[in-house]
Amino acid sequence: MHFQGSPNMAEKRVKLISSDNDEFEVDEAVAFESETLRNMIQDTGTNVPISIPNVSSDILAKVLEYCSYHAETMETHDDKPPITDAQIREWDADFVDVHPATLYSLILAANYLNIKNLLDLICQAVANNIRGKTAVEIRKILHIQDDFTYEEEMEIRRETKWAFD
Amino acid sequence: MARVAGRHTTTEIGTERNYVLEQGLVPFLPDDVALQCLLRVPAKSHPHLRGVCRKWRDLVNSRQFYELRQKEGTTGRCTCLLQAMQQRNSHQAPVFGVSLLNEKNSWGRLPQLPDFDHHSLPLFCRFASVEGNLVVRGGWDPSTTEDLQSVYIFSFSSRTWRRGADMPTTRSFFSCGALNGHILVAGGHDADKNALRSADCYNLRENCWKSLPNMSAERDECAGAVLDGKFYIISGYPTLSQGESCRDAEIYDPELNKWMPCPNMFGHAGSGVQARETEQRHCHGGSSLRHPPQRTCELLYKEKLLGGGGHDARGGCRNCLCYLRHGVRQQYRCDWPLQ
Repeated sequence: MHFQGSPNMAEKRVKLISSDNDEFEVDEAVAFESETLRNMIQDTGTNVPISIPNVSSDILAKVLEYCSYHAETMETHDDKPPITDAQIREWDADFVDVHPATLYSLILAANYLNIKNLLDLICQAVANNIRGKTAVEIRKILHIQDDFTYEEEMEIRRETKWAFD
Repeated sequence: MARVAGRHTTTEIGTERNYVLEQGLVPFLPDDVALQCLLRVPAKSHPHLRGVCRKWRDLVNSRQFYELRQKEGTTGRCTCLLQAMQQRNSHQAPVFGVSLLNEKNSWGRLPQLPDFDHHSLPLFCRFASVEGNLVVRGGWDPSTTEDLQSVYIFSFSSRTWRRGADMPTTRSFFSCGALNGHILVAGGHDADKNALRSADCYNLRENCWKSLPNMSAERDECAGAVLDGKFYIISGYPTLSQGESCRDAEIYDPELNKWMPCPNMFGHAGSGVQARETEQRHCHGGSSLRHPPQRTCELLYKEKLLGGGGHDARGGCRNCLCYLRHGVRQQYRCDWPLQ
């Protein structure tokens, strides 16, 4: 799978291998969106493929799609108007409009690959997902066990009796 | 019935636990990532977060959570106003509550005070905000008009009220301000209507009060505000000259634990102003139509402290306002209508 980076610079290409052994090749600038990959490339160079054992190919493809779009927004082209912040926001909003399970895998990948902007974006999406939901709904979305005793449950209900007036 | 027996004390009483992050806020998610998600949930949803599991409850209740939200810039601002909410008939005492205006310019109300000693907020109480809490102090019992020393704390995170340690002194018509996690109160009058020079400081984290040095003058119905890390107490009057507000102010410096004089704050003696300004961020005290000459109004506007003056004894309208910025007094004729 190939992702386009800058066409006007003869850039180094980086090979990445997902947990299920798919090979991806991207421009160095795209890989550099990830702090983790940047460090690895600076240590070992671009000759050796980098294996990413805990990210599957479908998620890695998604992450690289994000990285190449954002690497592209940093570039200036003479023939194209620059991408506006509003356009980027819209693109980002579409990007995280996915199933919660995908979001969950993406957040782990973004954390492992240390892509700060992507992590921020997904954390906000998760927060948006749970805002306005009841405790029971939140437990269901995030697979959290209810560990309150009956007394604690009553205590919380008593305390929050006033909260939703 | 929650009654806190905290009197004048410097004993350290821990009211909130420091939350230590452990594994497992969300299954399979590193805690720092899960925390980043939770920090972005608006305060209005926090009561639900507290009901999810023990770890979430302890996290949302912790002070660290608020501090982290502030650091991430996910806390919001709102303006709170004390208002009479309901009065079933003219023989009954009104019930006071807090209205709030949020950043999106929409109005809301805080939940009613649950039954502590009384279910209405006190009349003429004062409030200040500290670390995501609104702290309400003093005032009069709306039905008996008895002076109260009570302290009520509303947490915007849990959206619940609780009692704090009572004020060490009976004090009405005092001024207050929040500074470095503490609430400072100064001036006003005691139960016998004697104007006060004294000042006290409330530590929210430890739920205790301690005395500050006295001011140089008695200041009943003074105005107060915090600016540039200092606490300004403006105008007010002593017991012997009721209603004749003085021109000066005093400034409390918390680092030196000392009051500094700020003489001749107003060009004209007297105080009382109706400030009308659509962009005002923070305005309290003042603005009672029934007693304009007896109120001082202070507001923080675009990082400046405005003190209202004017309205001489003849009812003339040679009003002026002065503002302080970085401790420098400037004065100008007011350019909006005053009553």
